Amino acid sequence: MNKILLVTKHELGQTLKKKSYIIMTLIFPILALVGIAGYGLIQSLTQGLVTSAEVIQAGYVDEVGIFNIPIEQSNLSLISYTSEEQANIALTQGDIEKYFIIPADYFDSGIITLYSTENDLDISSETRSQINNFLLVNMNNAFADRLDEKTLLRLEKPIQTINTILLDESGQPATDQGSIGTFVISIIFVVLLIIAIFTSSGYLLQSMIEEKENRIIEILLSSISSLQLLVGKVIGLGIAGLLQVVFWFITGFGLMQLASTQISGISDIFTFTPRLVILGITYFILGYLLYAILMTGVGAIGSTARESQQLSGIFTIGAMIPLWLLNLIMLKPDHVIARIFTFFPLSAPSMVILRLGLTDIPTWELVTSITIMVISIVISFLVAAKTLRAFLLMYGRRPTFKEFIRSLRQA
Amino acid sequence: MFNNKPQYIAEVSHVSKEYGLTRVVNDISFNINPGEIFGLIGPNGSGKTTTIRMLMDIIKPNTGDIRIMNEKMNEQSKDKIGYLPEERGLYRKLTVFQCLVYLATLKNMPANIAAEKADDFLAQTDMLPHRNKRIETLSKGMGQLIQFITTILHEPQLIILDEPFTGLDPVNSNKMKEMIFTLREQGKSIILSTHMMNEVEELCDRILMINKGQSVLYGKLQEIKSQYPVNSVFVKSSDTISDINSVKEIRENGRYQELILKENSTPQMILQELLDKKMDIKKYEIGVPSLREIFIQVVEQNK
Repeated sequence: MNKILLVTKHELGQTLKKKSYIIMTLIFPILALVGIAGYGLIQSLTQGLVTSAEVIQAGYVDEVGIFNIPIEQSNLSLISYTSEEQANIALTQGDIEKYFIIPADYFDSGIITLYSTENDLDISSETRSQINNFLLVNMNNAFADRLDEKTLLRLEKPIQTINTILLDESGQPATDQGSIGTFVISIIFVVLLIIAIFTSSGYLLQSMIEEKENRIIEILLSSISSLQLLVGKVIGLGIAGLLQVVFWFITGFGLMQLASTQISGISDIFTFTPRLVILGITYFILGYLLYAILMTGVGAIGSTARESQQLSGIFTIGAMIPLWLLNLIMLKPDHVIARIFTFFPLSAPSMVILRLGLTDIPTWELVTSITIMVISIVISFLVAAKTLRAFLLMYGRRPTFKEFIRSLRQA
Repeated sequence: MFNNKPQYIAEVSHVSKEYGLTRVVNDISFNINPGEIFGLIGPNGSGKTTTIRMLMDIIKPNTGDIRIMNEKMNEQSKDKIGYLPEERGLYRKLTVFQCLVYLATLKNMPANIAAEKADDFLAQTDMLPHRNKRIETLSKGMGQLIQFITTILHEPQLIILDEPFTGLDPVNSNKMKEMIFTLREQGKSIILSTHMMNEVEELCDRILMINKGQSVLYGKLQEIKSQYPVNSVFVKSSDTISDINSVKEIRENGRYQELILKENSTPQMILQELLDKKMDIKKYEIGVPSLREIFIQVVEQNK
């Protein structure tokens, strides 16, 4: 155990000092920050033009019955409608650009639903803020002399969430409700997860190959067993990868807060729910363990670094499958093919994270997927340990398939 | 009074190793005494490295038993052994000091003691100025010296050196030989695996010769040499030596002539013939067979 800890500390220390690791950890938050700043800059430049020239005509339907003062604001003109049908007709006739419904349970939920023929990302923070003002003024007016706890809570935060429904030209809900925001952010999240898994497992493979090429492996094996070496490396580099993911989560959360001041409604589109964070980290750990062990086991067979990387590269295909099926998953996240690849251990991490952004995956599917991954990890570990023992000291040539099978039996 | 000291530092009994249908080590047995330098010799591919790897528990034998200091070989036994493999390597990106300490701690030596010992050894070998340099910046010879230090830093009782002099210049080679002798004086046992017979003759007390995975010679070096009959004499003479009945062949060897004996001839018979012919003999020396000659002879016989 002590020796495993030594290897873990050594690997973690070496990886945290690597330039490539530091750059990889920082590059995505920096890029996101630059993106947000750029978006903010462009919006502030164009907003000035829009506000001076255009006033957005928007309608609303008050199902609560207290929002009857359509206050005039600089670039938002509100018109009250008595029913959703009326508002929808006005939208299709072009009298208004969007309308929102304040539902009867608004005080409990804080949710309003916005109907628009435009994409939700186009709701500017200014428009959102003006809707917010409208709600606030009306609530103050209606409840000035009888404030209860529920009303106070609503006054503190008039808008909890804006649900957006995209309408087509005829005023019917559009077939493709998957908004650009959800689409892009889900993919970004999956890509980051794949990068984190492959970066960490890549470091493990690289470290094993280096030790084989440097010929230090024989010295290490004269001090510790191949199993201790593998476990120490997997834990050490796994912690390095996990630190990277946690850093991305924390900075991602901060950046999302920052982005919500620039891009209205972005926090409604994609929120860091505890379920997402827990499953994200769980699947990172499982994905990392599976890929790291498989890549190292296969990597040990290669006679050169390039050969080992080529051999282990076969497994990356598994993680890419969900991205190839992107169209299908976006339209039907619960399709049977999406479910099959939720259970397939190599594609499960990316498929689950992708689907989580689009649908509520049933608990039984998650439990089954995690169980299959754990079993796969245990089997891979046993095979990889035998492979390491048999082939780490084979220099200069790759074993034949026959030799591979025979050595696994003997190791 | 009961003596806890082990009789042997290592005991290898009837060990065999097969890869598929090939038996690379076949029923080998030997013991290592405390405080001796033991030569493990044999031609390339004879099974020396496989034997050493089994001794280090890096690979498992198919049959046979290995005991280190009275205990059956296990993971803990590895801490009592220092190993310098033929395929050498160190962490290129680490400094000399970091590398020495890390590898010693893997042998269960506390880090603070490893650090002290590392500095001691670096000072002894004049390598202290290179303490904080990266391994990749060292010359090949320096790297090899550092590798040797990693082998002995954790104070093992048994030290296995696989071709330790390969690639060393005469100065570093001598430095390493001195260190090996010092280790023997300290009571450590050393297994020296090499195919350089002059090194074996210079350093080893006992030897095991392996050929095609089998033990062909085992015992004290002098006893083994004495088992091989004298087959030549060296003569320095101002006269030209020829037509000696007991001699099979005469080889010109610079200032000497080497006379190869016929079967059943003795050096005394040759000397008598030379005296009978009234030859002027300035020097007459019996040629003891070198280990190299014995090695070649044994390998040829087993072809």
